[in-house]
Amino acid sequence: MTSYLARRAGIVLVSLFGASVAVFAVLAVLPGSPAQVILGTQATPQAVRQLSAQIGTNKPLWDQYLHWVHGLLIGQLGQSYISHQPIGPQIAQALTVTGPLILLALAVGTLVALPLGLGGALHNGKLTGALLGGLSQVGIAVPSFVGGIVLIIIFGVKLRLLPSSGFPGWSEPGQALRSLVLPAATLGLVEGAILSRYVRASVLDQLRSDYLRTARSKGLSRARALWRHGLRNAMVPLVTVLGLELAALIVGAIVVENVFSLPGVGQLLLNAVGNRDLLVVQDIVMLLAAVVLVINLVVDLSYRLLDPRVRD
Amino acid sequence: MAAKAAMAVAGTAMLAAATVAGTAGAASATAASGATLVVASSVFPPTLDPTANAAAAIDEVFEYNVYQNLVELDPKGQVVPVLATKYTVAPNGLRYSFEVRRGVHFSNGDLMTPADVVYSLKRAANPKDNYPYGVLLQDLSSVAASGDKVVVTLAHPDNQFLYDLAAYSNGVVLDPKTVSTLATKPVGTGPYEFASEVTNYSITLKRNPYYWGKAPGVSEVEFRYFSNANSEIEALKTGQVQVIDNLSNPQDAKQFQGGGFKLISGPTNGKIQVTINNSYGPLANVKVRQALQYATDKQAILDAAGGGYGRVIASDDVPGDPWYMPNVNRTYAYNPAKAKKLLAEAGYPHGFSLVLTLPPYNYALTAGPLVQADLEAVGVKVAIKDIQWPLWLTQVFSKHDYQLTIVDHVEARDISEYGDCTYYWVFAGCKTVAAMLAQAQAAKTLAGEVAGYQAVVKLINKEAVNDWLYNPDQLTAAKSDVVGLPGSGLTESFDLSHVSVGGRLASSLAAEGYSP
Amino acid sequence: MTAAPVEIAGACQRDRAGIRRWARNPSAAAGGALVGLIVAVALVSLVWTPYPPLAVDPSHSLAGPSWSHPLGTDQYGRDVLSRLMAGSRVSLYAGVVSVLVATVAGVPAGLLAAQWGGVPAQVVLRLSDVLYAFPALLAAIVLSAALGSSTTTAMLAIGIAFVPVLVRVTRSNALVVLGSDYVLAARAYGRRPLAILRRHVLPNIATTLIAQMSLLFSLAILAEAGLDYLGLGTTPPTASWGDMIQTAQNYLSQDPLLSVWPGTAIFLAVLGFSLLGEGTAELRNARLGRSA
Repeated sequence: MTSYLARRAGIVLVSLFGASVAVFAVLAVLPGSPAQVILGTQATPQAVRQLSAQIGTNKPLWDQYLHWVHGLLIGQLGQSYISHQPIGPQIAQALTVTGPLILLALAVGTLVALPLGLGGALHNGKLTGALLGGLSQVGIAVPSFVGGIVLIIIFGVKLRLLPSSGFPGWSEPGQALRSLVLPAATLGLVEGAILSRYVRASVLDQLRSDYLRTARSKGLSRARALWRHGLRNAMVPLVTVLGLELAALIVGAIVVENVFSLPGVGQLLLNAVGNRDLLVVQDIVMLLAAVVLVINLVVDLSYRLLDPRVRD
Repeated sequence: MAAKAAMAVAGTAMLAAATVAGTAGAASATAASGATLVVASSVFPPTLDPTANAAAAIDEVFEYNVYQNLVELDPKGQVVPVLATKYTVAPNGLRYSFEVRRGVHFSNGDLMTPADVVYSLKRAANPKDNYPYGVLLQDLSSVAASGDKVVVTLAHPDNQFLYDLAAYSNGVVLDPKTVSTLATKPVGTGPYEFASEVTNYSITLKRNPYYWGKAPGVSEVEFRYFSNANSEIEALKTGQVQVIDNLSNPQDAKQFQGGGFKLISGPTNGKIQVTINNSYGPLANVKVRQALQYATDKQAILDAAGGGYGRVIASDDVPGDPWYMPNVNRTYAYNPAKAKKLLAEAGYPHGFSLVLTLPPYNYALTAGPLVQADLEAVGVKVAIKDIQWPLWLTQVFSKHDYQLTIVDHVEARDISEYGDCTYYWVFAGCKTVAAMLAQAQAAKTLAGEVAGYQAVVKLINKEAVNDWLYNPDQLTAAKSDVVGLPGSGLTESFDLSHVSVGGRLASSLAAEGYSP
Repeated sequence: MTAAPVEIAGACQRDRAGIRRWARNPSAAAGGALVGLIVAVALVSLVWTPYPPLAVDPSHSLAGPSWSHPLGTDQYGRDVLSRLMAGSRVSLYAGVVSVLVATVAGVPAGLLAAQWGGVPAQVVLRLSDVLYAFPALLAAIVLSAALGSSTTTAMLAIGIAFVPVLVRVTRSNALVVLGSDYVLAARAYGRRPLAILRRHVLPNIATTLIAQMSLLFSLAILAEAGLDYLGLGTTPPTASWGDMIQTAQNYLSQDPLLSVWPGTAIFLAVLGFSLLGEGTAELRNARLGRSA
């Protein structure tokens, strides 16, 4: 087990290293230096050279790379060239929006996936089952930004029930939660539809298993048998899927934050790309990649722990 | 301490500058003093420090509201003394003597001294400090304090010096002790102090408790940023915000004319133009450039892209300039037949092809296809290419790798760019313009200077250096009870020094251009 | 349970029976119909649209549906129906490029891993694990920032992100075929590995791969629309569904329908390809006797 853990952790580290090189290399060939963007239409070649020297973007690439990685490892994410603000606190502040958004979306997604998947499995082969299956197909095919806009039209513009954009900050928790309802619903409904298909397949597998048939032959109804025996086993692969969904939610949040103008990590990333705030882009991309890789690692390990039959 | 403060107040009242302190008798005090004003805007400042970055979004929030200059611009574009109580100019035009206002405190309580003014001016003039418009101040031969006065000596006479000191962040007076944290905690002498910010979302300013002048009518101002025109409008309609500083879609202006709202439209310094790369093939020929101007239906573009708010221009010639000539802007009236004739005379009877590069701004994306259609009608085939702003800066602006582009030149009085031979439209007559401008700047009288500039305006109009389209208006939409908003976009600042919710505006302020 | 290899004899008969079976499967039929519709629209748009998709007409902006403009006009007065039709080309192109990239890179890698195993397989699998973990959208954002926004850079990024999926599917299915009695016999008979791959493995896993590719196609359309929405894909003024939604969002209170049309188009395209993929997979499973 420890050797497995060590091996997997090693792969994560290699992936992170590879990602850092890739991200840095790709951004290094960006046309348009940060100095140019800062000086804007007042940029003379001399001023650009001088500012580049000041902010350190004229040093050799390997020097900049090592400097950056070193900063990452000791937890100093550096200072933005453009805003001159420390990047760490900026990301932390953005996380106060993105974090709760993802958790809420996960909750919504689970609430959607379980009934949809269970119902579909229990009524498999019948009309209800087909309809539920169709519903999940529809949910997957609707892009998150389209779903979000439709929700804005209904609840924001027509009914005026919920704010259609923005986030007032946690100083007013009630208002803050209200602004997260539509975004979380958008993210969660789509992910829930995807998740429901795994739930359905997993529950179906259980329904066809031998010991469940035994339970039924003893006189238990299908649902009863499932409840007493199958559900726990059905949940095992769900841990895997939940982990994967978490990764997908993190990425999906980038789009949804844009739809609802939420000042989260996604907005920070997109604005930084537009402003050529390279250091911010690099830091956020590495952070997101690290989170996704670690989640996958944890899911792999827990899967192994939960199901001793799994061999690598 | 109290006696000193009383003296300072009395002194201030005596040195009544036309702007802030002179509201004697006018009833603005009835306004709700505890009110918060929320202003909707679209571009979040890339940094909080207006001396580090040219982006207008920064000046909009901080200039005049948090930071102040020796002299500032009122909404009509006139230079008025603020941190200076008065100033004199020596007859040789080289020596400016400013009397610095006494009893002024920064928002952290520090007293502002003439030494601080000297420090700030020297910092602006130093090329190493990279002030966005620092180059305008690099002609100083000395800056020194003597008693309550600050004396600035220029190397050459410059009739625009006071304007340049007023219009940009070059003139902000800084507290030297706070310079290392300007990007995170701006500290100035203005009516508001910086309270907090949520990146990409909002910036909050609170009333400055140490402010030397009359306190503004609201206790707090929040600039809130919307990336989307629809949410901006919804926010005003639902009361989440009370003001939109400048409508992103001019077509939305109609919704706010009445019904509890008001629309404030006033000129800006912007020149929305089709920039012509004078060094590219057919475009080097003046007749071709003139043909492009005749071929463009500028009024139709103003109607489509600007909602009709603004005015058509035919040179670098806008109402904010002292040398403004409305009749010059009436030249090159829409005439496709004449355009075709000129093209034939220039040797292109069958036209030619061009690429029009567009930055991602609303006015450009709207005007682009219209310009394309207008030019196709006279035989010039245009292909449109959209690029992002940083790429525009490198490719178009620095490398001159373009043929036509549409952009809004927002800086005021920037006609000197036509005398800069490296500027991206590569005008062949740049040296002539430079000489004419140098002469005008050295003129002994204002009238002489104005005449000199007017000659330049006419020259570049005749040479059709660019295909100027229109000068847009600033369209501010607000709830009708918001009083004292700036009535124009002639300054980079969204000047909220005199704003209040409810109440009436002093007639002196209305005369300066604040909206009643 | 081993897969029965495809026989040459009686192929024609089986094909006709296959198509009939295919048409009776609701997913495949519905999916096929939708895909057919979109491909048809794209082909037609190459030669004709009611109006040129780039023609502006500011005097008729934000008009609702009418006889002259069945789906109305956008904020610049451009005909929505024409832009919708032109946009279908962008989406299909996106799907083709990314799936092609993924297939050309992923299938041979998967076959390699299955056939030769050992160190090469480990290398391929580890590399694809790394790629799999790195979110596609993130890669697309970074690539777009570096190379400039264009449909092609976006699709390149997404295609690369799809490679691991195809590697895995190819490998696991190829392993099953390679373990079958028929292939073992062929090996004993002296057939070269490449020949085995070509004559036995590929034809047998083809249907599964096609089903997977169809699913990936639907995901590509979704991803590309998302990137266009964020401004990182196809640049305006070229008509693309995602970009149409992004600008329509500025006019939700004046003209909500403007965002509904491109949204529905994306939905139908994604649904079509994913149903097609699902249906094909179901048929494949049915033919092999696995429970549906």
